[in-house]
Amino acid sequence: MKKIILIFLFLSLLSAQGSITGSVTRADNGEPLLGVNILVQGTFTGTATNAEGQFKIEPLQPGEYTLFVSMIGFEKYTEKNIVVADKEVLIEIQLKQDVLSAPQVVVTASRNVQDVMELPVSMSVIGPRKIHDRATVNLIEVMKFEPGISSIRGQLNIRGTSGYTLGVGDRTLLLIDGVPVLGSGAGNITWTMVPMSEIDHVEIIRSGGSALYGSSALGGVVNILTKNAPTKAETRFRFKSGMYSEPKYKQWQWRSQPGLFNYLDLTHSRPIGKHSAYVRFHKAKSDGYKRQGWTDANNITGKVKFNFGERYNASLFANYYADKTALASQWKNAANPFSAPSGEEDDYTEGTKLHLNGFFNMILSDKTVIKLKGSMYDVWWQNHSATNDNGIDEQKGYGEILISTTLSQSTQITAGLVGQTAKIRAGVYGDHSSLSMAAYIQAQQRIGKKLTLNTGARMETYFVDEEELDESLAPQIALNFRMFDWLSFRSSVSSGFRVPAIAEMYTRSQLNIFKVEPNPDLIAERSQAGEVGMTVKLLGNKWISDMTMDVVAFKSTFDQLIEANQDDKGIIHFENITDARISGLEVGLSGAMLDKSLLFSTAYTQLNPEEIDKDGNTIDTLAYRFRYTLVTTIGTRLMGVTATLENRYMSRIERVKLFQENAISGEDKRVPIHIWNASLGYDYRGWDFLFRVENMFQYYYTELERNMGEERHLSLTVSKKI
Amino acid sequence: MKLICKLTIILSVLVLIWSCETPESLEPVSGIEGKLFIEGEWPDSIKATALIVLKTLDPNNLEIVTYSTPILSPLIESEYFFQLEPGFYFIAGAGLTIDPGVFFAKIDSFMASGNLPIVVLDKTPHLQRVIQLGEQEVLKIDQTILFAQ
Repeated sequence: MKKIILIFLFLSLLSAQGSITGSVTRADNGEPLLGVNILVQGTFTGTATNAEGQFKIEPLQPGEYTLFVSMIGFEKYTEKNIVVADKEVLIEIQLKQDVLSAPQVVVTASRNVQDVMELPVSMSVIGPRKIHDRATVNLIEVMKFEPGISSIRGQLNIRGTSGYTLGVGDRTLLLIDGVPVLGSGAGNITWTMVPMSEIDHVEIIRSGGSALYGSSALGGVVNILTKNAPTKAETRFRFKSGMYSEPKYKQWQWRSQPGLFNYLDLTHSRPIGKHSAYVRFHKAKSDGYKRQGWTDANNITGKVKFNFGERYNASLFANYYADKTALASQWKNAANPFSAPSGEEDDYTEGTKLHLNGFFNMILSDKTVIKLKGSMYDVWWQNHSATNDNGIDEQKGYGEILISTTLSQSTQITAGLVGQTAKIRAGVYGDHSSLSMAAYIQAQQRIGKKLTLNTGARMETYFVDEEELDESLAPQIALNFRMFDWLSFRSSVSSGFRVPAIAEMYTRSQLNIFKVEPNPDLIAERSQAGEVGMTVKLLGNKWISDMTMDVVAFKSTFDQLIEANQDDKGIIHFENITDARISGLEVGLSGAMLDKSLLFSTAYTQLNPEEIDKDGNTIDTLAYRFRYTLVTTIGTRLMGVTATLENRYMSRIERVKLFQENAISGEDKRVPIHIWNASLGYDYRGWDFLFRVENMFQYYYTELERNMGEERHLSLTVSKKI
Repeated sequence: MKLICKLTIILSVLVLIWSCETPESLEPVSGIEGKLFIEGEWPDSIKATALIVLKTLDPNNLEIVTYSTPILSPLIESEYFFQLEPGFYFIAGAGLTIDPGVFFAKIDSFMASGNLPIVVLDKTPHLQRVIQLGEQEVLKIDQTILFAQ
């Protein structure tokens, strides 16, 4: 009888099992989080969230439980005192992004979602925290703190690939949400139109190559992933106001009052049925730190995220930018480095840019996805200058179809077709059109549990004025070996190409004694790049934790680089004149100390940029490259107060092309760049305050000859989410 | 693990100290600035004019320290600035006998040969005047080049 009672009691207990179900979302925008680990304390029971961020843990005996919730890139979370009886317990969890971390999954390197520890190529990921802490309106100011990245007068350099090319023919490709945003005429990037307040994160491929993204990607790719509207209605504003210091030398002071700058961001987002949308207005007005440094810009950005059910989703992004900006070629002279040359004091340029892009995703099955992408870019600008009244009007269209399919558990194939067309009307170039068509394929193969092999190639044909200019094949092979969860090695070999910009082929202009004439015979420049790298991630303990170290050695060779060259009659043409080789080393180190109260990151880059002959012998150092770069950030976060100190060191540029140093007269002296920035932030009841001072020791330098670097400036940024 | 942590901290501190090396910020310079006026008719043989700064007056060894941006015919007025180390200098007006674009394209070979396509336009009185420059001093001197009327 006793046995029967015991069995009955046992069965009763079994039947009284309960469960915990719930969802995990991002605290900042309410988006569901996939792959969050959930563990029940004191048991081996656990699970991970699905694509909707949902989870269920069962069966659980009646009792009181504690859940540990964790995901790399987010702060750990503990839910205590969950009482489970014989029913389902429902909980909702919101995870905050970790102050240290950037997102741990990326999409740019293979056009598919990948863990950063399994990337076969070198990539920097800039999360929203880094962007927020610098409160800048120009993304380059944030990117400069990543390994291998520098800029010269606003021209981005990844591993020294671009140098300075008079603002035309960038060797870095900019994407917004995976769609290129290059101006087709000059092939340059307008960084100020990037909607900084709406960036989710930025992925920067530092390994050059054109296998996935085509022309211009030979120096690397910057992909800006914009935020989706949150599922709840909200309004955000950010106001940044500040002033430039007067030059510390009396001889250089040029105005009676300090220069001011003001930036305003106003964003409203809300759900619209199953869909969501936001619109953002941005106003920028700055007196500038020099006589011809002022700017006045307006920017409207909007994005709609369509949700058509589990299998279909789409997005439409629009960005309109209008500005008036002072034009300045150089300073008046070394005695007046903040003044404009005589006759150029009132020169300015005005323009508008409209960028639309969108995609439509169709999940055909659990294994196959088709993505359609489209983009339109319209650019108009006009110079108003005593010597240079150039203007430009161009339209560019872009279309892409991509299919990604999982052939087996270990093999994934991505392939696509791309078409791109541009029409340009410009005073200095004339009327021209271009067309490019490309096909690419990439295979990602898992070999065993630790090895990932990426192979791919892109074939592209490029026409200018309906005549074929170039046909290029760019293959790539890349390998990742994840020896342990915390240690991975990578290696890649790739080739790249860049077709000449219309500006390089057709510019006809005269500035003072310098005359520029067209060269329609230009051909595409090409590159071969290889690298070997290693990433280490250590969780550590409370004294030192979240350590990440990334080391990579790289070497790239370039054939037929296009540069401005002066012939024996003094006439400047863009020509395929240089072969080059850039080798180097990047070391990135970041982490936290003292129970995450002290955060640090540092990045060191060493370049050996050489101009070489056909036999590979060194002729000279490549112009406009920094041989050594070291950037360091130290920050602390205690009781709601954030304090950060940054240092940026770039060695003296060894070779320039425009104005050489004169040791006898002291003219055009070049010095290393040595900048200190500091900031202090405080979060008070949802109001976020950030005081920041940049170039605080008033260090004076030139990146480009006869152009003084930015003067010390102080700013206060206030932001609030309603 | 502790060793790695210690090494990392030491390395970071070293890197930081190294990055704090003595700055070499640009500073105010010394020099001569002013306006250059052209009077008279441009001769056909002169394609452009400029001011040149000389260290000595030895006619067999005209040591040109620097020169201003050339003025093309028919301009008659321009601003100039010479950045110079403190010391003594002479200024002269000079004429370029070839196209300035060609001159600058081949300047290295001209300098190497010592056969410059330059003629000194005003031997007096400026060449006789010694200009003395002090530390971070900028002198204002207007110059006139006189062509035959």
